[in-house]
Amino acid sequence: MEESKQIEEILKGFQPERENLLPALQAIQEHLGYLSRGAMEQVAHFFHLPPSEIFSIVTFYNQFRRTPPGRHPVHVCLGTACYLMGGDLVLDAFSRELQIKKGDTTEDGAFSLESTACFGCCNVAPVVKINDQIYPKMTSGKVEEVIINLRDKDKTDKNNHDEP
Amino acid sequence: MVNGFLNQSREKLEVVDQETPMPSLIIDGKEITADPGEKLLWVALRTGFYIPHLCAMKGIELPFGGCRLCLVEVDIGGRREVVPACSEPVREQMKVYTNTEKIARLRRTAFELIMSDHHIDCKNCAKRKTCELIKISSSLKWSLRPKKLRSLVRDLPIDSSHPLFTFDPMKCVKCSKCILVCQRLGHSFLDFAYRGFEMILTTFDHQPLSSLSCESCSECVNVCPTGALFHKKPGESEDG
Repeated sequence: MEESKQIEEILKGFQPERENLLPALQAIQEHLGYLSRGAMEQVAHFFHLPPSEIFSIVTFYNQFRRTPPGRHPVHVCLGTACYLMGGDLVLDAFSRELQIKKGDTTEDGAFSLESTACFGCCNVAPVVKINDQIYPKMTSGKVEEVIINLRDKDKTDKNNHDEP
Repeated sequence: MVNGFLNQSREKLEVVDQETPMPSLIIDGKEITADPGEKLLWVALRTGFYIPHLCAMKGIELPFGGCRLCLVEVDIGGRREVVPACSEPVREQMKVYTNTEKIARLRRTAFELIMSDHHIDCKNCAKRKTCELIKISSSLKWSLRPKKLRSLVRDLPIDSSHPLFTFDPMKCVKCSKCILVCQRLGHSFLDFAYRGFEMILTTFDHQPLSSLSCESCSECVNVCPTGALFHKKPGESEDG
């Protein structure tokens, strides 16, 4: 189904009142993975709000992203415990290795980088979550290995997929 | 300018319904009668008290209150508080202090914060003759350059795509006046994006100004207190 049709379906579940704006944006992102320019325009039209205001809101909150997430979305925890244990250094390391900034996706679409606050396993801080898998006690030194392993896995998956 | 406010408000005073009580307050020891619901800043300005202000706009329902230059101390019922004068409605028996040492320090810091990410280039600035920052700094004898804070001017792209005016984000003080006038005219092309130090004034998805269905009323340029939005010189081409 076309993106705009899908968004239309999602918006049907909401009244065009201001208080429903954030839940509607969340629902669209939940479904499509991100908020495209077209999606923001559609939301603006539905809520009778200027597109500039939707853009303002979407860029204000960390939870919204405007680019499609990568196949392996990297979530680096910057909650208090993880931050104190060097979570920001881990984030820097991912940013350096993947050559993207926080919130962006690599050109090949493999990885995207995000910071979040607390997965509830502070005892193994600093923590990184990739594809629902928790990487405990991360260090910047381990970052390269994690990325290489995922890239290798992608390659073998592709080969297995191509062969039969 | 202060005179202009004076006339405007006097006219308004005369049409006030006689039945509503007129709150009387004391500004720096002087007793003053004001319109009910009137904001402190405008009362002070029309009665001859100078309060620096950058983002305040008359007739705005919800004052932005972002520049923090109009901070004053108010004493109501024995409690002394620091409030922005542009958003504080007058109240009966309110005591207002517009020029205490504490206020001077807070305003000075607010001004330094504004100037710390402002590209100071008055020589080449199109708005140097009408610049509110220069007016405020000279009337309070403050230097334009921050003394306590480092200068952190970001490297942001200048939008000169519009045939009539240019937007230089490095001179924007985020007063929101342009956003509010454009909104009042029913367009709302401009808004803030991002958060904290990264916040910038921009259009939907950073579209160039020329791509909007802007009617070139130039109200945003007229209301801009700094050189962030400025008219192009006649004959100046699109690329600058």
